[in-house]
Amino acid sequence: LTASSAFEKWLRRVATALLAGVALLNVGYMRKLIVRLGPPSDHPISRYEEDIRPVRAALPDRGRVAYLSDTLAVLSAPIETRADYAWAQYALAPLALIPGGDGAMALGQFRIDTLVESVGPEWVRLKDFGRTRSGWTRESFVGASAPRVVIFRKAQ
Amino acid sequence: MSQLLLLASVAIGFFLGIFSVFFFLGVWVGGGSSTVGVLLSLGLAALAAVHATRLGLRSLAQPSVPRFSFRTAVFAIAFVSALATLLVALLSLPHGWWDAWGIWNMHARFLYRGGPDWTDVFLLPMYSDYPFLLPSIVAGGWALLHNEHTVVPMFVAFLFTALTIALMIGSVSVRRNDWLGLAAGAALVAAPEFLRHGAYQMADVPLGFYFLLAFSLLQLSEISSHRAILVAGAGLSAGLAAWTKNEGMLFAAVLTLAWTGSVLLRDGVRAAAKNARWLVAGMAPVLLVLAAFKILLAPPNDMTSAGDSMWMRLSDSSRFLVIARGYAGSLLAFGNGVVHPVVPVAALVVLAAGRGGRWQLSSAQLCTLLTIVGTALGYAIVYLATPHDLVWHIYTSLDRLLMQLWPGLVFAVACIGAPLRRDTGILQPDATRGARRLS
Repeated sequence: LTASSAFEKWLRRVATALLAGVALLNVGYMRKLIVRLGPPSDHPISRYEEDIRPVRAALPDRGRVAYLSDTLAVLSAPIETRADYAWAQYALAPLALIPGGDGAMALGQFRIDTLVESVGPEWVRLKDFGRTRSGWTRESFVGASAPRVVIFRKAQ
Repeated sequence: MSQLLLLASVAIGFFLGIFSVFFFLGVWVGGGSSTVGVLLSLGLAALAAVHATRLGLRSLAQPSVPRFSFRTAVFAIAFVSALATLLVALLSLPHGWWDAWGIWNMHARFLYRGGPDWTDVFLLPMYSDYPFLLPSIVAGGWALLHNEHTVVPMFVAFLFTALTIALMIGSVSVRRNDWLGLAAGAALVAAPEFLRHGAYQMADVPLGFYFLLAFSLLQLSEISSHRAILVAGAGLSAGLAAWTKNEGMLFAAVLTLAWTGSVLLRDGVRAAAKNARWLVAGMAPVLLVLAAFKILLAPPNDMTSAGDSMWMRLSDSSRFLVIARGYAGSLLAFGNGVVHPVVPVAALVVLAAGRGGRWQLSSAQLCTLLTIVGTALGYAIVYLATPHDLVWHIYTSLDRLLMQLWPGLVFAVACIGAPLRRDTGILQPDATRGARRLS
């Protein structure tokens, strides 16, 4: 063996050990992060879907209903209210929730209680389901705060 | 073993993509999902995938006996550990993460539950113009089982993540050697972000898979006697990438330009025209379906619908700086592991460069590098034009966009120093061990 080929062989061995080591280390680190997630039944959306079941029964199976929230501009809203919309839409599909849209009925989700009262006179409160058990929070996936769910009908 | 991994990942990848297209067309034309539609889609997709894979890869499918060693065992532990971690994460997140419940699985619910009203999905204000590869596969699975269980999207996510690892190992093994294939697979999973996005049921992993499939088939076309079919297969992969996410359309366009340009540089105008024709022929069927979807069904994209002020944003120099900082920050934090993935990539460079440090680029290698750089630049231009808050847009998406390119980048690195067809004469990998004739 020449010095250069011995060095090359050594270099390849180091590279191999480094590659395998980093792969094992990083996968192990990922494993540690995942253990914190908890069992599937604890998943907040699973709990949210349970809570929204009576709401689903009170709404049409399909078609379109209006969607009211603390803020109606869904895409520019704070992340919690956008997630509230997405969770409700995910749970109620194929019923289409149209933010601010017109219709005979509306689903409302509110983080701030007083804003339920500020919904315009064109909407009459039909049923208030209270707060769901879980909702999106920025800090941790198992949320503390959750939306209050209300169904409205159009005023005559 | 490596050829089997390659064949299986190519065939299953094509099968899932083609099934998605047929199932979606069945729902669209038939006004909702049906058992007949799903069975017909399954049959057609299986036929097409098996036929395409057999035609394209038969010259490469020489069986080899896997050799076990301590090093192989260490890599095997890394892969098993990665897949086990992925499985545990998937079980903990049955609905996935943001994009899974906000886009893909929600769209799948419209397809499966909606009957003739499934098109109401296009009335929604968020991401309604996104293509339907993933929702169609998930909804097709539910239709087949007659059960809307979360295990279907979880399985699809697992499959695409595992297929990406298998394709990496298989394609690098065939193009280079078995040992380097394992090393490239280890480098891929050394970025925990890759596994995390798989567990989140994001479409970025399937998209990364189709990017990698396109690159692999182009590379393999250079050592195969069935070049036209493999280039067309790469085109089909690019088409399926476009059917997965909007970013795939940018990829398909960049790949076409890069491939044509790379062949032009090495082999001249006639070869470039011929290769471009093969590539476009492969992607055309899926792009036609995508065009029909975009024109007849999907609402305008939020990026294009805010056209008035787009030119002002494009010429705002302060946005360049924000984007450059965003890229720098995301690249530094890339992988989200204990050790930055640049370390395994550097190790892979040492292993791939080979004895004597041969640094030569074939058309496919040049095309792979150009496409990765071009697509990353394209993403930057999209950020420049975005009507959304720029910092928010970068913060919520750039790590995923970079992850789409990660498998392709690892593959490109692993192919450094691969022998060129014209230089080797016979079609064989440059294996330091396990070399075999491939045609």
